[in-house]
Amino acid sequence: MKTEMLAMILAGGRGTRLMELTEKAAKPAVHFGGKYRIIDFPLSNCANSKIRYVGVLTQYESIILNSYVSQASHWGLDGRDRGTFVLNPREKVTGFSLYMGTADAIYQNLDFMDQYNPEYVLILSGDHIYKMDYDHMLDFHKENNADLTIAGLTVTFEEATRFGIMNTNKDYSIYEFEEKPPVPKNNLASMGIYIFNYDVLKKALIEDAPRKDSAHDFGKNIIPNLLNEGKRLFAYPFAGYWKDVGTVDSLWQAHMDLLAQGDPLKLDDESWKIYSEDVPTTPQFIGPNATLKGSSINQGCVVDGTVVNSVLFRDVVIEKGAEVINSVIMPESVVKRGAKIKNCIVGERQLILENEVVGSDDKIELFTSREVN
Amino acid sequence: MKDILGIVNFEDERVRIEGLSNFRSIPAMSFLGRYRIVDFVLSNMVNSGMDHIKVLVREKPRSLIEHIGIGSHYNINSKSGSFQILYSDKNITNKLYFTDINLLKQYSSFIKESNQEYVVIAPSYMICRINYQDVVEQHIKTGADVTAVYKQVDDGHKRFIGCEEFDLINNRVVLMKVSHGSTSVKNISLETYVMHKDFLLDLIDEATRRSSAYTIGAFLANDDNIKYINIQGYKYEGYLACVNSLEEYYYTNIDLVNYEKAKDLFDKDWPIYTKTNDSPPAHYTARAEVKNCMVANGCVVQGKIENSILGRAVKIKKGAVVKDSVILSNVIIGEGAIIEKAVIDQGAKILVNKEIAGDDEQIGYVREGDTV
Repeated sequence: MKTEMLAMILAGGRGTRLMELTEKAAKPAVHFGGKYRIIDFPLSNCANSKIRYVGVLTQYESIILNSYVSQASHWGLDGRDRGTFVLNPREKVTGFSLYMGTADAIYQNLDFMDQYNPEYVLILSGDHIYKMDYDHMLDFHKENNADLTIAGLTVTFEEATRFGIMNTNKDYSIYEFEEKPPVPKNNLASMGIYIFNYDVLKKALIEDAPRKDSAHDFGKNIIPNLLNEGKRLFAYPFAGYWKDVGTVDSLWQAHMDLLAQGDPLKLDDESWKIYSEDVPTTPQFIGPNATLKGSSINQGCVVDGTVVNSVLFRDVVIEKGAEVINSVIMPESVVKRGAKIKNCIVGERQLILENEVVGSDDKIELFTSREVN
Repeated sequence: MKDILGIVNFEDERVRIEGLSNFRSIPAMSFLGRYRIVDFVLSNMVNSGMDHIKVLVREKPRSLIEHIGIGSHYNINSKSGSFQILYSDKNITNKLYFTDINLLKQYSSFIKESNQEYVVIAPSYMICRINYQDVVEQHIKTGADVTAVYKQVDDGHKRFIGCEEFDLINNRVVLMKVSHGSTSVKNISLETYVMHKDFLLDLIDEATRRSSAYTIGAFLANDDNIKYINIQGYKYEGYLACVNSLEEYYYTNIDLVNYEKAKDLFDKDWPIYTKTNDSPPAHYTARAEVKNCMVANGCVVQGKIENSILGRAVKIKKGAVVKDSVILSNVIIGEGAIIEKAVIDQGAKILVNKEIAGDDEQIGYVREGDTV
């Protein structure tokens, strides 16, 4: 089994700032955009980029995530020469060790990668919302004869302090990589998307692994080390919608972007579909008393109330006289008669009682306190 | 639970949906926005625990085969189950001889060799939610030769015209005839039959020996046959529609926009499987006005829709008004266009400010892919 470029998706983080949403499911499994989970984006990008083998490295609360990712047919990644592979930390001859950092996670799966004898390895984060053709990025990598190519997004200088920043020459070759610089010299941020020549990656990981002073992190250790060694590092400039939905506020905001900006992610684009789980549902029913404005509504919903500027996931029920404004309602939640919801994210399978008022004008609220029986 | 063989029967000559079926077979027709007609019978079979299903194909099978594929989206086990599409490899030019029996005769060895003792034969165009296990259970209990499913309806004077109706004495079917809508209360046949595998094989042999034009329904209805074949009725009480004409197609769609009515057909524990198209959720813009509609994913609604059904990826542009209509997938309704009491077939484009209106006598219709 030989493949040109193997993809490895880092999906082990909890996403603590998403609060209760990630109590039972890791961040990559969090629902997004009315019918997707966050990890559908990198996985669909892989499938659309004709990548055939995708390893998904999971760790935190991964029952939902593991079972989800292992259904490769969701993304057309099932077949004799394709597949998704769940890579949890596991017991080895050398003992059992959790993934101690992004680089360590990949290091612990060298044996997996060796099976495919890849020329290139694409390393991705499972937490980000965007569309990208990784095959174009690979062309760029090859044209530059690079050892490592890092996708870069132009951010404001203010935001730049929160990212790994790439200081580049005119030809996008990187001369310096600064992790979260207090005074950034540039505003080209690393998106955590890397294409490595596999031999370079493997050597770097093996050298980094025994170092006691290393955090075994790509941004902090591996990338600066490669620069010091004089390797060829390039930034691949990306233009388009990209969002790290790491907090309740940013998750809510990303949904409002979808509604306000008229499909910034081009979810409607037939040539680059975002694939997802196909859950059998009833059709979507809009009742005689409904008012719908500026909203996205998935199949299985039954709406007889008012829904304004909101996103409803599958099988949500909005009863007559209920009002949902500027909110995101996750699958199978029920909003009873006369209830009012504003500026909220309502979690999966939640029950909002008759005439209950949830949310306010002051802040974005997360509702996860009452499950449907 | 019994292991049952399922046979999805094709429509016979009586079932014709003008226009809509010029281009494709009835089972593959888009229905209720996100489904195809055949999804209902296949889901009923699968939900009844049936994992061995054969689908009889009449003609123009391309869109049907594309939709049902190898059956994996209907949840049929890819190893232990079987899903076969049976079509005639004989060149039958006379439509009279294009019968279910002649087709089954060609494949009788498949039926003979199947491990299932009992067979359910059901057409796609009878839209219902039925557990075939219950029918087979009654069939075994009564010792009938054939168990035929029917529903007692009270709107037979205007619906189910052209369907078969039963007369029953002590639950035995003594007469099968075509309904012309003379009376309102009648027993409408679901054209769904349960029989022992061996009985079906005998029936096929006997029927073909006597006439090449027999269908299963016609053979059972024959005045002499009905005397010696013990056909027991199975009374079905749930939702039933027969999609056998453009009017019925339209009426059934519009009827089910009403959620309370649709609850008779849809049940969370009885999923209707279909092929996913990976479309994004339906989107309603700030100017949208929506009342009483069933809307599929991928739609973008900028105008006004009322009492209507939108198939996948329908675009309703600004100022357009759609009322009491069935809009099939990928249709674009241009700005300011007005559609009333009409069926707009797949991929049609309705130009800016165009008006299309049908009435109770004649449903408006725009053909697949047309631009008007």
